[in-house]
Amino acid sequence: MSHVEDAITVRGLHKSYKNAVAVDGVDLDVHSGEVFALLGPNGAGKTTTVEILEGFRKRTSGEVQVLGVDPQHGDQAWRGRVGIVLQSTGEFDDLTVAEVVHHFAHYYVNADDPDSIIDKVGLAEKRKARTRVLSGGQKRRLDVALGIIGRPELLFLDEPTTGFDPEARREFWTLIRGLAAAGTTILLTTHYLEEAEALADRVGVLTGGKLIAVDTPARLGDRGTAAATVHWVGPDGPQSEETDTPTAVVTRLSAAFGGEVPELAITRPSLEDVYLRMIGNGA
Amino acid sequence: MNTLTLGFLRGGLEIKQFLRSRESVVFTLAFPLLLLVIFGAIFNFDVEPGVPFRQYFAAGMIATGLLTTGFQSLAIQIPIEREKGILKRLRGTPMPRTAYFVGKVIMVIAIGAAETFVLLAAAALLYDLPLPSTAAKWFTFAWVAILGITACTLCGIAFSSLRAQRPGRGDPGGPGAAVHLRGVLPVHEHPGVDARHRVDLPAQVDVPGHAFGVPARLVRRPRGRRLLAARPDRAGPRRLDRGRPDPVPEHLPLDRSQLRLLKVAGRDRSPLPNDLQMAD
Repeated sequence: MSHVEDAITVRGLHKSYKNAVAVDGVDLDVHSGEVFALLGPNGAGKTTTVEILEGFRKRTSGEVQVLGVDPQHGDQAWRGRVGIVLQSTGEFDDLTVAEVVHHFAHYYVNADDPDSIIDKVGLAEKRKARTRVLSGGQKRRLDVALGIIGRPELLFLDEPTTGFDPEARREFWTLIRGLAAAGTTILLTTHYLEEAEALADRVGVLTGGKLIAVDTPARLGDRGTAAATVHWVGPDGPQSEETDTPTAVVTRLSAAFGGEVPELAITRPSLEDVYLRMIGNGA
Repeated sequence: MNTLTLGFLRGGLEIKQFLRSRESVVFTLAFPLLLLVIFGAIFNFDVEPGVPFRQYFAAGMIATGLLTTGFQSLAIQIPIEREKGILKRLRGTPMPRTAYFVGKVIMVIAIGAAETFVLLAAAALLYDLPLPSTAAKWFTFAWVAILGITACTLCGIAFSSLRAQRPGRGDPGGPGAAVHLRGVLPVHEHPGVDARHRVDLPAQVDVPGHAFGVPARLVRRPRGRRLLAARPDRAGPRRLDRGRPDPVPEHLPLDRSQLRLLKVAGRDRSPLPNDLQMAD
């Protein structure tokens, strides 16, 4: 097995269907050990791209290496190194959580301990519950348990927290951070910008089948150097000022108000602002 | 772990799932038994001198049992698993594809054997039918049963892939049709039976009048030619009678779990990549 620097290498990836181009020349590197988030509107080609990387779809052209292997020809040994959490939630009806996780553990040569995985995803109390009675969030945790039971080097998470309540999402993030800290490379697609910001080392924005930007969440779209906006409430009501030197503005305001500035706030464009501008829907 | 071991593990899991599913147990296991008990009670004549109808019918019901287990349960179950994304999920694991089919075959063999045992026992206990009397006859019985279930299993697997290749709403050739037959059969058979023959069930069994979910009105109808077809399309249930208006309500004589099966089996699905493609 050859050592590879990057978990995923994509060059000139194209995928076209009969009447439509889904992926149009994507180049992408996901480094080993990083969490990479793929963002993009519906129909941007995210799932197509991810499914090509997972070996579920054939590409029209381009070069793809996932853990040093072309996923189109991924064998069982390769499958054992890759964990997949699909966009759709799994259904196992009348089997219990423990039965499903223990069963899937048999598929992997180097499987983790099923009971500790069940604990890890927070399903310990539901161990003996039939999977059909689990809530949406609990079913998703089961999906993750099945995705990580084989101790994957690379984990695909396709919109893992859609439909979660905020608390469940926070818990899920903790779980993913734990996996990342243990060295698992993670490719995440999500609609939630704050999720990408919370989890990802780098984000890529995919729109119209093209990858238009790749950067850290803090720097995406010149966010790091963008102008700040200072907000306060003056004698004439709420006021704001865009500036590259917010500290100077605050000092000036402080002097003018003789101390505290009423309802002072300094904001920079959120990841969401930047993202919306990039995909062309920005205000 | 090798393919065969995984296949056996999957088989165990499949059996567990089968036995926990009320639909499967009722439709695959209990249905031929019900038919055996009811028709065995109704018809009591000799097909040929020395061959009572019950004997003949019991053999037929064992064959039906093998058919429902091998053919019907796979032709319905595999598309449902494709629909639910279970096949895609399995494709994403290192599980060899063969293990999936080995698991199915093991389930079919186990359920088929249980089914055959139940039917033989019912025939012998309720209707005093003679079991095969010599080792040679048992041997014949065994190989015919095994051949039958093997053929049914292979047909079931083949049939389950038809749908994926010809997507289309309400397509009567798909697995929906297999369920469809099931919906038709009791309604079709029951009315004439009830009107013309005195039902003389053995004292040991108490089959309620609605065991098939057939409305009483329908059962009492004197002409036995009515077909109510359960179709999973949006037009709702469609009647296949000879163009005469029918006072029978539009409701199907199916309970909710049966309808759920119909819906799942008949629904459109994207052709790719949800199926476990054997070819690539």
